[in-house]
Amino acid sequence: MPASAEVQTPPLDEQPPPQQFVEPVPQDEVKVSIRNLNFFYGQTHALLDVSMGIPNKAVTAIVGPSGCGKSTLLRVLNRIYGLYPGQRAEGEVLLDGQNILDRKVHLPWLRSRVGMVFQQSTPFPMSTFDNVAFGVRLYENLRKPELAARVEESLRSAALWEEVKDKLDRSALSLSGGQQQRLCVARSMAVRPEVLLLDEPASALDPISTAKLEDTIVSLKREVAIVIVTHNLQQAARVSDRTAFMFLGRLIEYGTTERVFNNPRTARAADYVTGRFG
Amino acid sequence: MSEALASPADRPFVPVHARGERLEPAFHYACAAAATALFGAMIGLCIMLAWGGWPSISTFGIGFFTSTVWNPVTDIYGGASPILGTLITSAIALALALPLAFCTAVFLVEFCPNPLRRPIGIAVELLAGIPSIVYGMWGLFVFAPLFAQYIETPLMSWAPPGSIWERLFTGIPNGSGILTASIILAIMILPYIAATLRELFLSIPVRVRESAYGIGCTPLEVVWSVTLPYVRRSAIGAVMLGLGRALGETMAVTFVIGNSHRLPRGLFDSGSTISSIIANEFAEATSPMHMSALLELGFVLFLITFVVLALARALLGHGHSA
Amino acid sequence: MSAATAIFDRSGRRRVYNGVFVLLCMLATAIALVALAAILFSLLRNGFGGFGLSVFTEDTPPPGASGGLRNAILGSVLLCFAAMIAAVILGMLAGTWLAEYSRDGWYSRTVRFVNDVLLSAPSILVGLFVYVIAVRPLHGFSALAGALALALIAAPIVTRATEDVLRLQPRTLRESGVGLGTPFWIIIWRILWKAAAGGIITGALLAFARISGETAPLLFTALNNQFFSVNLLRPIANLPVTIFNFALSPYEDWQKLAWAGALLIAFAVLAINVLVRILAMRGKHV
Repeated sequence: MPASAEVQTPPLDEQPPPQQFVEPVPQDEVKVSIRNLNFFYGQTHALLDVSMGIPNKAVTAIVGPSGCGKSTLLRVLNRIYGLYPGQRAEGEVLLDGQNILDRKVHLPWLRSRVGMVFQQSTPFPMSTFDNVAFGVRLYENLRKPELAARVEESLRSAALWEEVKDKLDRSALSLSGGQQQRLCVARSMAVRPEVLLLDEPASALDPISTAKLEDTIVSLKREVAIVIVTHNLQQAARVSDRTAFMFLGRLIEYGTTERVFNNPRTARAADYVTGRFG
Repeated sequence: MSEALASPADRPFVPVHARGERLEPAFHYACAAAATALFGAMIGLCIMLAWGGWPSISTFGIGFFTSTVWNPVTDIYGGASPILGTLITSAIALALALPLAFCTAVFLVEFCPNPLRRPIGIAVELLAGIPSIVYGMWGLFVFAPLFAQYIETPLMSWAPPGSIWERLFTGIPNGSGILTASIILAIMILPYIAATLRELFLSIPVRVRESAYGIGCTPLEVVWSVTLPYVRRSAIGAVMLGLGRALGETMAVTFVIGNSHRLPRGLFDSGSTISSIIANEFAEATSPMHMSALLELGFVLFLITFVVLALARALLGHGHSA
Repeated sequence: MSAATAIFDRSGRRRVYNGVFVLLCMLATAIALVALAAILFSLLRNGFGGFGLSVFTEDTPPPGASGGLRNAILGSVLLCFAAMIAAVILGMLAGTWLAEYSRDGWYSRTVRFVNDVLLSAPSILVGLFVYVIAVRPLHGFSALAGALALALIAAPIVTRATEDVLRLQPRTLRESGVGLGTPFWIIIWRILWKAAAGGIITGALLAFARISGETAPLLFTALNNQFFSVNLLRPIANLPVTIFNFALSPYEDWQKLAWAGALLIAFAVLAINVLVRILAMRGKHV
């Protein structure tokens, strides 16, 4: 961060702007509580002392310039980083009060509760139906009609049902990019998670597909807590209830989306949301 | 619908284990075991050849490499002529194949008219896929008679007595011999080397070659001063790979080398290579020492090819399959 | 003015060198193509000479009698299939281990290196190895030993293909499997292998093409058998060794059959290679 960016017009109350401004989330709304989270890629310290609450049944957006750690934060929430040696997290991440960073946490259990959708759509090489049923079959012994009902329910929740109901047995790879991404949402939802993580889900999509996906996200928040990482500020403004701004591995500002965008309290967040950098 | 997902406590099913989770270690071990089996095959190959050849190694010692006596009746064996035969045929084959392969690869990358590029490229690769026994038969029945009639006989009668040429062209002009085997080997390894070189040339970023053309280089200058230096290391690897093929090739050689245990006196003389002698005698070897001597030869071939192939792989890096 | 002439002269010489070079390159390619054409031509001419329905319906004859290659063809098919079953299982698991379970350890680097060397190791040495570990202890040549030798030649090819194509799969495919809590082996089994199927099949086909013409490793493992046999514990008739024996025999009938066999093998191998290219092209267009 260049020194010149620190020079700001003094605010009205003549106080220098705070380095960090984090609004607490009311205790009864918290689904995931992150406490003093630090993250390391080998020697690189990627997240510094992040603490925030993620509310249930709401959309939380994480924004910030590239490399600020927003995807890293997301990847801690279902411990997918554990796939790669040398990556480790310290601190606490409480899901309904239980620390998911605990070694004893059963990972399939955690991941069935915390679903994830990635930047690139990743349909599995099988039919649309089997894609959605994939996770369900791992955990539950459903009879055929029940499974079919679950698949339909999930596809509906991802607003994809009408488009694919006649070609459920066709390969999922034949769907369009936007459909594939919503299929991935449906696949995650079919396991009935409590938290859904979205890592730049619309960055590879055209505007129309993006709009559909955003509608889906907004409607899904009736069912789950959603955390979405995005570099697109308009998108964060459109879909989220709360917005977290990160910079160089630190959580700088966090609060209701309306407040963060209209009345940022920290200088860096103000610069970022007004488009002065980033 | 959303009611069904109300809260964790209401969820009809709390997953504890994903299906099939318990099989994970078994699968992991199976994969590791398969990889270890390949590793073990290599180690086993080396140890078994050395172990099988031990009676011969301990009996004949270092003399095995200098003696050309190969006598199953008296059970005395020396491997000098097949070892030398292997090295000579491979060296000649490489000397013949390398310039051809290089030029073919350059032609395919630089000069070939576009519509012909794919068909010719595929043809060269197909040439690499023909089983070696077919090369051997073709060498014996088609190439050798023509070679004897139009090359060997005229050259032998032309060679002035007492000159180096006469010594070089010593032999029986029946078409089989060291040079015939080398030529067949060269035809065999040519497509391997050409295909690998072509792949290497194509891996050079287009902008590098284009910028050389951009400053007015002719294709020759581009190939010589840009393309080759760019892939020099891997190109040597590709050549070593071809050499490895030639050293170990059995069938193509066995048909046309003439299979004699003597040290060849000239290019047209018959000789033997390690692999041809093993192919001819192993199944019929009766005495344990005969078999052991053949296994020792195999061990020597293993060591030679291992060094060559290891060098080739180290130079090529991982990523070239030819 | 003089400078311009110098440049002109120089580029004139450069043009000549370049022209010679282009000619040499064309000549080299022509030689390679002529060799291919000559081999195919003699295969066709001599092979069809000995060709007939009897090749498929009759067994290999004693010297001087007429016959076919039925037992050798069936034996070869049996050997190759047995070998491929083993090689595909071994190669897919080993390649999966290299690509998914242990990418960068010293052991995996060693295994990868060994596999690369095995890929082009002399096949006759594999034959010797199998003789020492499987023929000598059991006191007899057998189809099983032959299949083992061929499997050891095919497995590194499958391993290599599997590893390469698995590495091409996007990281996010694994992550979304993991994101659902899927055990890793199910991700491999149901997702990655499926996504990589085209490449693995291609590798297996190439391995099949390679071993179907291999002669040297069979000479002292499967040996040969003049009669029809499917007993895995006995020597078995097979095309390459039959061709080898018949071609080097003094009998014209046998030599004719050898050519017919060579034609059969060569075209089977070429057909597989062409099939692989068609598959690969189709894969690219999807």
